[in-house]
Amino acid sequence: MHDAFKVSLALDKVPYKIESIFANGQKLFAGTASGTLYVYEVKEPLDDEELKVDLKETKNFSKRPIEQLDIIKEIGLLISLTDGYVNIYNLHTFELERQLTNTRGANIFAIDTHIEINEDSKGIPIIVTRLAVGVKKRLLVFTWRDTEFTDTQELQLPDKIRTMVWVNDEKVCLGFTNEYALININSGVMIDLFGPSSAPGGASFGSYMGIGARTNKPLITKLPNDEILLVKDNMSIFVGLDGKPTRKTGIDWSGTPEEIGYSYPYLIAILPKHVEVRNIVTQNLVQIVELSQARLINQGKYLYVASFNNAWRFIPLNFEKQIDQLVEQNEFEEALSLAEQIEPILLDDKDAKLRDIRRLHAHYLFHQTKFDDAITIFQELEVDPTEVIALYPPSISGALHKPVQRPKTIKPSDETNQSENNNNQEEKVSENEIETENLEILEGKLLEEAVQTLIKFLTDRRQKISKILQVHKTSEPTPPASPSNRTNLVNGNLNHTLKLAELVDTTLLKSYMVTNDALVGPLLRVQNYCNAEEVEGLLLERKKYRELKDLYHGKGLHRKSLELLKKLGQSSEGLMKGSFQTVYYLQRLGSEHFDLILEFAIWVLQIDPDQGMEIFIGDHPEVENLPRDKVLKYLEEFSYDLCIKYLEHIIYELKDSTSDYHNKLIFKYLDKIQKLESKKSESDLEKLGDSILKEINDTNQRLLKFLDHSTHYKAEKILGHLRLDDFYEARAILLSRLGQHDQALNIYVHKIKSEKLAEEYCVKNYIETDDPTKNVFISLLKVYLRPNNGEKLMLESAIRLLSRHGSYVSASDALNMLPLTTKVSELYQFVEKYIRENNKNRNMNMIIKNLLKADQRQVEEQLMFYRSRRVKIDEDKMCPQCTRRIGQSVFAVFPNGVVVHYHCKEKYSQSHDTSI
Amino acid sequence: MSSRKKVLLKVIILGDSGVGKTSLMNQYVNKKFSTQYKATIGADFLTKEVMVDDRLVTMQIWDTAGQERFQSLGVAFYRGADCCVLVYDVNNNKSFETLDSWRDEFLIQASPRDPENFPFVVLGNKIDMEESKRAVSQKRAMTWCQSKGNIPYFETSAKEAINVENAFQTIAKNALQQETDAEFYNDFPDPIKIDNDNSKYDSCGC
Ligand SMILES: Nc1nc2c(ncn2[C@@H]2O[C@H](COP(=O)(O)OP(=O)(O)OP(=O)(O)O)[C@@H](O)[C@H]2O)c(=O)[nH]1
Ligand SMILES: [Mg+2]
Repeated sequence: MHDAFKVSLALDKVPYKIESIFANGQKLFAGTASGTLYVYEVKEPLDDEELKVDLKETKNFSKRPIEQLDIIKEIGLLISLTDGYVNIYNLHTFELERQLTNTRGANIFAIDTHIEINEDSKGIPIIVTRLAVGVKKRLLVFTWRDTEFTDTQELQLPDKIRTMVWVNDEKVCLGFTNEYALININSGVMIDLFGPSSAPGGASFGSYMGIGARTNKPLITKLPNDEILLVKDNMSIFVGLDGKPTRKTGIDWSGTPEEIGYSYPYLIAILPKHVEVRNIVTQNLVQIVELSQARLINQGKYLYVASFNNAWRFIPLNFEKQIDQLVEQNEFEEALSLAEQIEPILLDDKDAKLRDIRRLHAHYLFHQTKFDDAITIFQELEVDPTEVIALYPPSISGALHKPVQRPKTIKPSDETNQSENNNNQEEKVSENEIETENLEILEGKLLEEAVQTLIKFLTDRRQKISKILQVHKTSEPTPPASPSNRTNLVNGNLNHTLKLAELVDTTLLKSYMVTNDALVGPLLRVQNYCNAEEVEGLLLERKKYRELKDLYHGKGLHRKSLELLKKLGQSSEGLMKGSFQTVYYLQRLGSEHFDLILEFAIWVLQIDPDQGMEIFIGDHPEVENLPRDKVLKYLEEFSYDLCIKYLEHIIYELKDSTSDYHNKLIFKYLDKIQKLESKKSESDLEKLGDSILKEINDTNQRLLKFLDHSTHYKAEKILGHLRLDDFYEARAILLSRLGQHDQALNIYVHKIKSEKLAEEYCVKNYIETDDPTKNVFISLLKVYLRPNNGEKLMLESAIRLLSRHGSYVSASDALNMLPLTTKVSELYQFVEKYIRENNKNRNMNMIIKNLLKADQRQVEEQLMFYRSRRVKIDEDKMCPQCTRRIGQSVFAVFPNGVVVHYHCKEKYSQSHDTSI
Repeated sequence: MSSRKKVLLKVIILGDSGVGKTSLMNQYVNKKFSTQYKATIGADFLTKEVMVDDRLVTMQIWDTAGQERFQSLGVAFYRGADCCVLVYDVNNNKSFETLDSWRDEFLIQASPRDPENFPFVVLGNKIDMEESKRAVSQKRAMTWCQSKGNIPYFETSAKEAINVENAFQTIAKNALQQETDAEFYNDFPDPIKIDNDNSKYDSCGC
């Protein structure tokens, strides 16, 4: 409850009983039981002044009571109801102008004034005044157009009118003893409201009908928005102009209302015990005024309540003050309802006011620990997150935290400060203290709950802010902030938004730490605006190193990240020990951070070369794109093992065909073998020698495999570097690459001394040819049989070769090369094989020859068949269809040899059998 | 504890534009596939009834827009999700690389009670295309899934209906598990909190 009106005594001890009052502007009229009219002038008080009322005039209208008073201001008339007549006086001189004699027996009247613009008036507005008078069971309507009295209507009614109100310019709401009705005075149509016979629409009221043994005075109050308030017993019901109830609930009064009036925006009711003021929307009780024997109301702007001899002026308090009062009392919904009802012109910046009430409401709810409700409002109002965050204890709000205070002024903090309202200051302060105490209890479960809500709020803000920043990013020039937009997010420049983003993200992170720290990582890994320094401190404090790494990574502080990982990795315990994290991190850095990668790969390569190599060969696109030459150069400083591993990876896995790399790999193999060999000879431990030997072998195998497999190395270059007294196998492969088969074979035979390898070489390199100089088998034979450099002649080997692969060598070439002393018996196997092979070839060729012959026959036969099917077109050739010459025309031949014109073929084939 | 209750499982599909989210949902629910691409705007959902362990549940599958400019979902949308499906295209490396941020963003938006055990399922889609086009190896995808707390991984083709049924069955199952867990939490609104303890982290990950 609050004070909506200030009540002042206006008339004290009027000598006669007041029967009617009417007020307009500074004028107050009181009609008495003695027939005297008192006219007062009222000086509306400013602020705390007393109300000043002066009696200006006393007029004796009649000997009978003045039952009702009203004026028609527009045409300067005062209307009174006395002794069953409606009388019309001059408003200024109070001379009787006219007595409406046909109103004899009248008990009530009602006035409506409105402006009409219609065709008759040719577009000039005219003031239409209607005076409705209830005379027994009739309704008389007198009409004035401007000052001209024009006509009278008369409508018959079922009952005597006890009260009536114009509800629009053609409808009057009538109250009878037991029912209400709406009548259209133009059409005469009347609808009952809640009458015994009325439609079930009024049923809600019907139930009260039966109970009321005592029938009360019907009361009708016209409300804004085409609503009418009707009373039955203790109950008021809202109906519309169609007679249908407009609200679910009516007002249940504490007693039977004597009178009800409307004074924007309140409802005033005289009840048996007191006068009540209610909010018309929420229907809540706003103010109670104890006035003894109150019985009359002058509703509207000049609200008066009168008893038998007194009258009180109800002066509406400044709405702003009323609202402040409600807010002060934490009656936010009431304040909101009031502010909403008030016309914008009556309230300074109504929208701002509404917003502020809601804001304060949210603060209040928050302090009531109704966090969700509070945040919902904050969210709807899009309040500056700073304000919301400040509600939380310093562990979350940091420096923003204020020892809790409800914002004192209702103005947003950034707007002009407001200096009024200071008289309540002291009271407020004490209130604040209480609240401060309350809020310090925000800890434990309650804090967690509050923080959960904050997280919801912040994630929502975060999303909105990032959308705005997105726009900023895509359209560089700052979009003009629309002044009408009150949201703090959109308003202001990019810098401001970025600041907000930082606050929101950082606070979100802190909130996570309170309730759900597993979300810290995700937040730091996605695009975020967390304050790096602050978060760094928090994470260090809590030893959240993984998240710290995420933070550094997100902010591009890779060196910091890597140093952290190194430190943790080298420590002997903890979840982050070892090199895995560093490797993982470096794998994703990419070539723009190549130097960093190299720098931080060192410690990993030193403690765990295998893991370390993953930095350069891991299955990751960033890794693949590192500059390979530089990686190689770097790895060379570590060991050729790593180099080899890397080269093998890029050549075998990544299919790099750069010949430099291929050459290099070969050299690295060679180097390695040489180094190992020298190491072997140095070491005397047999065991060690064994393992080295194994490694040499292994490397050698890989070398040979690679020489065999790769086609991208430069054989000459490598040959040039090859030690002459070693690597015979490698040399052989290289020579073969250069096409120097005899040299290669020489190596197999004389250096490696392996007939088998030599033969295998021949099989692999043989190409069918008639040129004996290109035949590798002959080359091998030469090696065996035409030794130079004092090598031994190797007849047996030659014969073994011939006996196994003799078919590749022509007999004459072989025989030419064999020494004359060779025994024929030794050549038996070769010759036999040779002859067999030749026989086989001959037989095979015969078969082929005969098959081809058969083929030829078939083709000849087909040719004959086609030749036999020729037709000859000459001068005499006639078309059997049209019996004209074929001549030069296009013709068609049927399978049976008949020739017709092309265009005759359809017809002909329809009537003849044309098959063969 | 809720075996009699009718369950609605909310599943959210996320992933870059064009990876086949809409196609997968359509293949699963309507058994249809279209080669035409029509970008999803905002979000769209289909429902399907599924049997999970002898229990009939309704799956509400939310398909979202991969294209940033069509993303218009508020934070509230993600809350109450029971499972999040992350989709990438095995022939598109970038779509795999962004899985991390799809996952992280989801966690932030949804703020699940227990982010480390929230059910995700990863689908590597479009495996019907030529092997030579393949950009993300199965091994690499599985390593990632393992590092994120053993997320189930499926290689699918919405076009050829390979593994789609299978994948969604697992999705439904994990979603139901989550839903049941959430209920458990609601019944005991005061869960025991392990304080600020690094041991909660999975052994590997970033
Ligand atoms: N070959 C092949 N094509 C597919 C497959 N799945 C989807 N596509 C095609 O990929 C394109 C994109 O598919 P959508 O399902 O619309 O992609 P989306 O992920 O929903 O894209 P947004 O709605 O923009 O987020 C379409 O042309 C589909 O036909 C698949 O398994 N194999
Ligand atoms: Mg889509």
